[in-house]
Amino acid sequence: MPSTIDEIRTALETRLTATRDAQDVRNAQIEYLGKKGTVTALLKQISGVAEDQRRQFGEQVNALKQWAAQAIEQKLSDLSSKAHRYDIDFSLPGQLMPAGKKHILTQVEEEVESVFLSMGFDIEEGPEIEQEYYNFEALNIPADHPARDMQDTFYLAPGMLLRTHTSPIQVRTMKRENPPIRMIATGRCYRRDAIDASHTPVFTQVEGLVVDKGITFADLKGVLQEFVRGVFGSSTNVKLLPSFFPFVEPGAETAISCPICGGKGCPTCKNSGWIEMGGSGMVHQNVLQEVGYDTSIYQGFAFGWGIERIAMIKYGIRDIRMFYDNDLDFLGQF
Amino acid sequence: MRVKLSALHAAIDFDYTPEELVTKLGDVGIEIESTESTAATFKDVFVARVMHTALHPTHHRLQLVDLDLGPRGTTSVCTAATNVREGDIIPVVIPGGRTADGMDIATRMFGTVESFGMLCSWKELGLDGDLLSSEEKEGILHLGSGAIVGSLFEEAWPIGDTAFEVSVTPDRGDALSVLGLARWIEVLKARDADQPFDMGDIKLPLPSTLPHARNDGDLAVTINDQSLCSSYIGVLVQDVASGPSSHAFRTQLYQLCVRPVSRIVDMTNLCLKQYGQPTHAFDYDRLQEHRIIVRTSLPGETIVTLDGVVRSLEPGTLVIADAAVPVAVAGVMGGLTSSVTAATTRIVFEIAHFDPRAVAHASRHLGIKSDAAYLYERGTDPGLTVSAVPSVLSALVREQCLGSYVSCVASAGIPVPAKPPLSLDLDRVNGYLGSNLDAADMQRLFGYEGITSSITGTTLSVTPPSFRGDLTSWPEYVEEIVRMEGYNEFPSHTPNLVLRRGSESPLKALCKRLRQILVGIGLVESCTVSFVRESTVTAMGLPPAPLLLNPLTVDWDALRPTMAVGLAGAAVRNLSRGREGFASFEIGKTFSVRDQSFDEETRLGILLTGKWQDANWTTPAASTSIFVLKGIIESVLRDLHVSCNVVSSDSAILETGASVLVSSETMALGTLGILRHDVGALLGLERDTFYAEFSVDALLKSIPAIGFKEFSRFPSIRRDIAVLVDSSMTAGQVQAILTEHGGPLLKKIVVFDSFQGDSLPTGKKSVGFSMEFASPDRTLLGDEVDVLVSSVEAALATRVGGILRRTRV
Repeated sequence: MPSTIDEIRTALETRLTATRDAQDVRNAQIEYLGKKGTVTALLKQISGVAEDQRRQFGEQVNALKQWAAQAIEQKLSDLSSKAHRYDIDFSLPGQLMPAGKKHILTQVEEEVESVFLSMGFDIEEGPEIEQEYYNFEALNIPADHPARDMQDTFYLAPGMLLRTHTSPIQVRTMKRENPPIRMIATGRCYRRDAIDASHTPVFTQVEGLVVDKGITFADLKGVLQEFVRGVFGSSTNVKLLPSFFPFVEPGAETAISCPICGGKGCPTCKNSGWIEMGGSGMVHQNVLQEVGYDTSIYQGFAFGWGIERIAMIKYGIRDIRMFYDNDLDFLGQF
Repeated sequence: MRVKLSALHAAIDFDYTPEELVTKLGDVGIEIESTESTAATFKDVFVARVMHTALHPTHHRLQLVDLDLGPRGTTSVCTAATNVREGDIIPVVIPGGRTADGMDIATRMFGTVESFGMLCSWKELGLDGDLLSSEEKEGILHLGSGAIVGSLFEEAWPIGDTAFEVSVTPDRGDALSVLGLARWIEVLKARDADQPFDMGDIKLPLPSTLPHARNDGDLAVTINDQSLCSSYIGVLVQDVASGPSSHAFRTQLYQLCVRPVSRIVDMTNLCLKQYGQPTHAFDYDRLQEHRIIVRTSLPGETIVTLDGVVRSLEPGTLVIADAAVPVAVAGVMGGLTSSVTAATTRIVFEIAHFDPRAVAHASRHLGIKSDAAYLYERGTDPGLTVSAVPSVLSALVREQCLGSYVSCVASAGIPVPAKPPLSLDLDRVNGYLGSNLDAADMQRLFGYEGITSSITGTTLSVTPPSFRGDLTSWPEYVEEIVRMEGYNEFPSHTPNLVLRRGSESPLKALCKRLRQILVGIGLVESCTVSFVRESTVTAMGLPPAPLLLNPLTVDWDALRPTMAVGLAGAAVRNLSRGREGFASFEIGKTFSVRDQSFDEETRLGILLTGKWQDANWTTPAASTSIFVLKGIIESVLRDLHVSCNVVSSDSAILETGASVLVSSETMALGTLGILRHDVGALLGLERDTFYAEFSVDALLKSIPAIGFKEFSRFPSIRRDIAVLVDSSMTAGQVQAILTEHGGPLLKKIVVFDSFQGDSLPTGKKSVGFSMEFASPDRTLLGDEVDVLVSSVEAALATRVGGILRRTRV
């Protein structure tokens, strides 16, 4: 703390010049002129000063007090009335904050989930180590069926495998609950695919299932349309193409109008204006019967898409391996 | 499957351009993955016959070749090729011409000899090397007998064409041949013209009766179980003379995208590619008692397959046997002992229809993937094809002069009886599709595909053609209606569903919340593969991880028991790119195995190393440390309202003395500490790394219900003290004394300082605490707080040592 009258004056002057903060000025007022303030303390010292110097010291201290009180009042008045011109170099960067980021796959997965939650779908989960029965047999893919070649499978033990799709969650949900069913499931799946720009042995799926009385193929198209517009924007359209998945009949490959070129044709959609996104169809009678549903009463639809694929199309990512490389230059972009 | 446009045009007339064909076939579910058009890029290449060859007088590595160009006269060239003999039919490019790879040809002197052109190999002609035999690719291309001498090469060889790569789903076995694709093109034509499907439009020969059918005892065919083999025809050929196929047959194979091998193999491949009907050739004289018995295998039976492998047959495998032993695995692969050799003079060609499941099972059980098995398991045509292909094969035998005698020996069961019709309810179909089609509409749509139907009231009785083995239940017919009407001609509407909220599991919600908290703190989320290398897990000292029976690579042969390996990999990748640090988390499943029973658990892993924030003019770089990690964990737990205990604990992958177990009141939550340096080195991380792993399931169970707690609305008073204690004492132990003696008004304690050395006595350290006092119902007086602090100080003095400093704030 400054102790001599001159030091005190200089310190307060400097402080008042520097600050633009009224609260700081008020704090200074307390620190200098308050009950325990520096100037107040000097005033208290007057009586203790030797008689020959008392008068002069008293005058100096009182002058300081008057000056301080006036300077503070003046500063407060300036701050409340006068628009001060600052001179800040705003080309300087701000203080860095740690920049956290959700993985792009999480972002897309949560986006998809929120679209379906808003339509009243439950989000179901299931194990990644799955029984062969739930992954294949219950989904109308018997042993020796050529459709098994579509999904090259990792095995852990006879009858135990890493799920090749999220579809076993359909079966588990239907075995646990009676219709109406309205669910999606998201999660990690595994296929023994050689690694290239469009295949990794680990990938993420979103699976949807609706089973109730009177659910039709038209409903499937309607729900996919809502889904696609929720994720890719309200001008996106859906087109279905015949395809085969053992657990649906009729089965369809779903294409969306290319969100990059708006359907005019570009390299991403190979100039077709359409991009294939994933499978869908009416749930196969064998699947419904397997879980014990009465197929004369209930029918439904299902679909399964890749989260990586959605992210790749939405953001123009060309290599699926990037999702699992976790390069900060990649992750930081989304 | 690869096939060329010319082969399709040979099978059916159509006007579609290649682009239209791709779109139209795609619309009915047959995907053309790629197309490739080829045209003759060479000029003035002619078919020539070699009249005479002689050595070059001075250049002994060259030959002089005199050529007959038919109506164009004769010429002569010098060549370095060694596979040119008198009588060969070969391509030559003459002066003024150009090769496919762009070389202009002129008359050229070789020593004293003038050469008027160049003999061509497949490369100079721009042919598809994949469709040529190894002999054809060696030196100068030899055209078989039948190529017209003097003609332009593009007239003798199908150069200009478009190749399609057809991708067929497992239910579309009927499209796996030229005939099959021609039928689908007929479907497209029928639909475009609104006419019924007409098999008569198919130009491929499809005779429906067997030629020279007889059973005179030369060969006896018996089928033991007709449910596994509905028909079996043996075509017997005598006086077999094998050799290469003729030029005309050769170019046909080129159009079919079949690589030539020998006359016999080429014939079987043609039946496969053209008709989708696998065939097999046995050496008739190596069949015991000249018998063929289609039966299931008996216990203990084995077979040596064509690839030379001895295979034990699972009892019940469908086999072809002679009087003694199995000679082929039906529809999968032939046996070596009955195979055709150079010495073979009599052949039996097999044309049969086997049960798809029986073939599929044998193929998978034996681990044999063959073209025949691929077709059989997708369903071959038990009707027309089985009766047509023997005739086609018999005709080929004659045309190609393979043998002198042909007879067909048929088993029982030909022709195969048609499937019974299936009833389709009109309302049910419309109720399934959300459509409004009438019976006549459906009948018309079925008609395009050759499905016959009759209408009775609101019911359609439908019968599929024999090649549509996929049509067995009513939803499959519904799919055909959609296919023919067009998938996009059907209405689209959102379902009428009861209003309700969607829900997600508490675990899922917690994972989302954790991500949100950690991202808010400034961590980046990683997603790493769930595979690890078993030897790495073992070297880390972790319990055994679940092993994959069929890993993709040895580096990924187990499932991760910890998130550390993946996160370390992500760190290494980023550090290797010149980054100075990495601070990341991942939430996902970890796996364990005990007594052959697998388990999985959702876990959170956090890994910090190096700097986690760059410096700039306002701020120095922020380095990670064990207390940054602990602070992150404390923030997370505070956000979740989970109060925790932290105790020293050993962990397999963390350094001793730098590892703690964090528990809630009821259970262990996770560990945090400094990653063991040898583990770090194993994972490629050489600098200090801080790692935490928590069970999300345990966190979920530990989150308490929260409610409002009264708080002080009066100003608080702070007092700082620094305590001098033995180095062995923990800050937590000192803080406990503060808490104990500070009374109910002590609201908060913050450790603001901890150090040793410098001015302090050896074996001592200083810990600074900031205590905040407040009352819920009044403004505290400084003096009464001082009394409380004094009592704390007194307790500290007697229990741990002296007070270093005391500051009023």
